[in-house]
Amino acid sequence: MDRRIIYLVFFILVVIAHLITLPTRVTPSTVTKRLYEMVESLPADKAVLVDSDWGAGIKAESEGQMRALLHHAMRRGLKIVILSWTHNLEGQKFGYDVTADVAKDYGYRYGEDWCVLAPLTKASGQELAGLAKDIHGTLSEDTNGVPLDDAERLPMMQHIRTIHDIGLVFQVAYGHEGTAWLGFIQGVYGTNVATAVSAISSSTAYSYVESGQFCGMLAGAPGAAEYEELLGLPKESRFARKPVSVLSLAIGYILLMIVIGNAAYWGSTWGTKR
Amino acid sequence: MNARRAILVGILVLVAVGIATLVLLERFPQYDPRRVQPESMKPLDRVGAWVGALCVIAIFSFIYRENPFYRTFEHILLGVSIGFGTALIIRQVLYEQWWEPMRLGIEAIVYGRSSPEHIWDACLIFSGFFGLLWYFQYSKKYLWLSRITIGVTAGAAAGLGIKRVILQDVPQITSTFKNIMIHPGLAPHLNEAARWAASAKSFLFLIIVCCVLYYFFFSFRRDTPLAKAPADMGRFFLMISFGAFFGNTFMTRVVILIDRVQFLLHDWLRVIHTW
Amino acid sequence: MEHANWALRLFFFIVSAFVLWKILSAKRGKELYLRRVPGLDKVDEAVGRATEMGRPVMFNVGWAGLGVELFCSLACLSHVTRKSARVNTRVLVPVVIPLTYPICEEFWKDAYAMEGKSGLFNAEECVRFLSDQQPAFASAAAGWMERERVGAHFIFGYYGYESLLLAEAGQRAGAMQVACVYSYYQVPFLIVSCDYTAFGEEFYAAGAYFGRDPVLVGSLVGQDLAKVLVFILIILGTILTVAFGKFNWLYLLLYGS
Repeated sequence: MDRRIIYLVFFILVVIAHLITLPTRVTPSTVTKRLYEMVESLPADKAVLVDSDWGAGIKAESEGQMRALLHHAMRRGLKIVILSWTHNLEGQKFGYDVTADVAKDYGYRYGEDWCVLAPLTKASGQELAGLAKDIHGTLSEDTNGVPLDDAERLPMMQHIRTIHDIGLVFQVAYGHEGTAWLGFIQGVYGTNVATAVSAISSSTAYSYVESGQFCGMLAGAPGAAEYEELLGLPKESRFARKPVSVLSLAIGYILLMIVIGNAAYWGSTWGTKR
Repeated sequence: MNARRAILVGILVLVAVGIATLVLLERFPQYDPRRVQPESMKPLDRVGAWVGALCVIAIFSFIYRENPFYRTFEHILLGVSIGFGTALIIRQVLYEQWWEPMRLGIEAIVYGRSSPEHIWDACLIFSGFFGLLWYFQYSKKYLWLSRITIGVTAGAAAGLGIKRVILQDVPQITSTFKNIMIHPGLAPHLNEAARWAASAKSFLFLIIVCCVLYYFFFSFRRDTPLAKAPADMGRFFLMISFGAFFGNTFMTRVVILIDRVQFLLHDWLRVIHTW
Repeated sequence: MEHANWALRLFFFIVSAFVLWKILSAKRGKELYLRRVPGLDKVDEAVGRATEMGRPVMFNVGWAGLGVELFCSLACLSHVTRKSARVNTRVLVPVVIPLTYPICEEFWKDAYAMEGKSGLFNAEECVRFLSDQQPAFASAAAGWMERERVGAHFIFGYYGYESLLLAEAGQRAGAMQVACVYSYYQVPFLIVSCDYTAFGEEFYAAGAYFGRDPVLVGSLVGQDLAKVLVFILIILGTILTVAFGKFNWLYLLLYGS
């Protein structure tokens, strides 16, 4: 059979799954629960640093993950600092837009409750070593060019100066490999570091969760849906719910194709041997 | 006209009619029967949605066959990405992180109001010369100058990487220290069956780690069955893990497709709400 | 911990000593054994097949910047290009990282020159920087592959999701595909879509395998000794954990405070 027919049927199935409502049950996993409990237990005077290192290519997974964590942090009244990178300015833009959107639900105000720092340049981890010791010295301004020392426009940053003022570092990225957070922050200062990665990277990230280096993890869009389930968010705030229900149907189709394909292969081999 | 050509023409006609209908509905929204109201999107957003949809369909057309439509958009994508990347590097890296600090540092020194920070910033001029050595790649006679830059860059990355690897990967070794004989004193909250299960899990973990590690030995001979067996087991366990990777990777890629379909159905065709 | 303790410094020293010892042995001419890596044996077959079909060969060096991974890929590129040069076959090299473009071009030219075939093909047409953005690179490389109808496709190095796009395009073009990647996430897809696949550390071995450079071969053998040390630490650590619990002296030494 021409593989293009398989692709076409798959595409039509995904379209149909969008048009109908599929009942989906989401059961939170251990690693998601760990992250939830970590955020629940954070002291009120500590901030959450969100490393927004994602882009349009992985938006489908990362946006849901970031939204879920932001909902929780804002519900707890924690200050939020968004960090981004010069090599990935999409992360800054998306991080800003998503945080601004979620902030509307909780009455969070820019400068008082959340802010977005100027992008940081990767330097093999040394940039994080500098950031940990002196945030204001490493990144002197926010994304709008406002100096971090400006008490009038960025009052929240007057109490956030070093890594000790950060309760949780939450990395939202495609993958975790190459992350210097574990080496330069968690390993040195013992700061809680959690990650929200694509499902691809979650396979290898599990070993870091097992070893205790990551305090929790959101694995792909299902991880985001699990977190939304734990938070008990209303239906209109659940960003990851629809993709996960469509995903269930898509995976079912692929499993069917795998079974059929293998049956056909073994059948033809058996026929040849006979 | 043969059957295949007739089907192709039929599909093209249908697509043309569909596009014409969508365009007419944009122009006369009062006849639009769809659920999402057209007023909720600004005109420029509507244009953006159309352009985006065209790009998605063009790239997806590669699934059928490589065609000029796909090729056109492939080249547009290449051009946009390179242009964007170049503008980004010039603005965010060269200008903001090299030129401006260096200029201000040199100015401060020249006008006699320098501080230690300004002196460091002025030293960026040497970084500039150092970076320019790269371009000697194009000179046969002075190629060796570019090797200085390559050497320093590679060496610095290796040196900085050592700390990161030791702090990130050595804990992975300690995390393999698992108790393979869990006794009641160690886990009083577990019943006997649970203790056996936990011990078996740790033992299996140890066996898998050792076999996989053994698989990646390159300088030891595997002539005997005893030497070969752990390597074969290691490969077998690796294949199981690749199956897990396959599933997870497939999940990510399908979610990306779902996002694109959502874009087509919600932002472009406006036949669904997002939730 | 901010700085390594004495145990980690000793560990690092021992690993470095192993590697340096074996490099010196290799440089002194000692023959160091390297086992066969099945996927890599098929490289010659793939080049031969492309030559028979009268089609070019495509070699992807991957997404790595200046570092070990790139140099391993380049050692393999050099080997493949020399094989192709002997049989007057064109080698196409799409490049992702702009920084690596001149280096790739230099290796390509040198390989043809070593076989006395400089000037046979135009380097600018064969070695092209496409894009440093994954989706753009994947689209362009896939399109290039289909237009040129490549006969053999080599996927070496570090890749993201574009590896499957490249492998799929290679399959559609009818190319024989050999992959050797160290990004574990992509290996399953390359196993199902390529004819032969090597993975993980075999990628690093490939550089030594083809080039037989004493430094590369010595490093590989030295790393094997380091792996033996890790093996011993794991067994010892497990024994100590059973006897004394998780926070035994070895765990505390290696994990720090």
